[in-house]
Amino acid sequence: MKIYNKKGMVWGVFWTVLGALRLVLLVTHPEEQVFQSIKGFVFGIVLLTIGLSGFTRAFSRRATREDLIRENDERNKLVKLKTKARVNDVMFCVMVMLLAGGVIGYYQTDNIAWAFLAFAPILQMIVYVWSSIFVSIYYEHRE
Amino acid sequence: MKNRVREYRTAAKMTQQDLADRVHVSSRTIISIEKGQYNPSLMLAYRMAQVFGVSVEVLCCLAENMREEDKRYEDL
Repeated sequence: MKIYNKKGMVWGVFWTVLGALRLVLLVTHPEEQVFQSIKGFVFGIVLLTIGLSGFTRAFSRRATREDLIRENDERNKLVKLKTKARVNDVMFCVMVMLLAGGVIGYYQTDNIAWAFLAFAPILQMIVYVWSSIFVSIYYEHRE
Repeated sequence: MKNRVREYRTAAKMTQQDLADRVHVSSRTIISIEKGQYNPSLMLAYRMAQVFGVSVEVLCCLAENMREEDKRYEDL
């Protein structure tokens, strides 16, 4: 049998082992609550299914071709890039709102908790601005 | 951007999946191209043109699209 998709096979093995471990752990260390046991069992089965599916697909030429097409499809790549860009915009807006909320809350109440709310967004925005400068310089030279 | 992919595909009696398989993309990409929602890359346009035996210029209505684009700039 020839392996057509080594990466897919490795991931398949990884998920299979993870799923199997979850099921084995359920047997050796059973959960006290029935709901937790059911959740763990379903989770293990899902992981096992994903893993075995990935593993078997790695040996099929047709399945590997389908995976390759899905992975390299230019529209899929564009959709992924646009999605990331939009999510990035949304997250930036959220950071700005948190920052504004924190600053306004601090000045209105003098409660230090509000300042802490603004502190994380400030750090994130500094990283965001600097990383966007460096990344844009990188792509301006590369593309 | 306008194109004549659907016209040539139906004339060749091919399904969207058939064309997708021939040019190594997903059928969703072919659907988007036919609807004019997605503009194919140069290589994909060339692959499709080869499948139908026409030039990229004809398949992608380049002259017509260029005229429309020029008009948009002139109307500014």
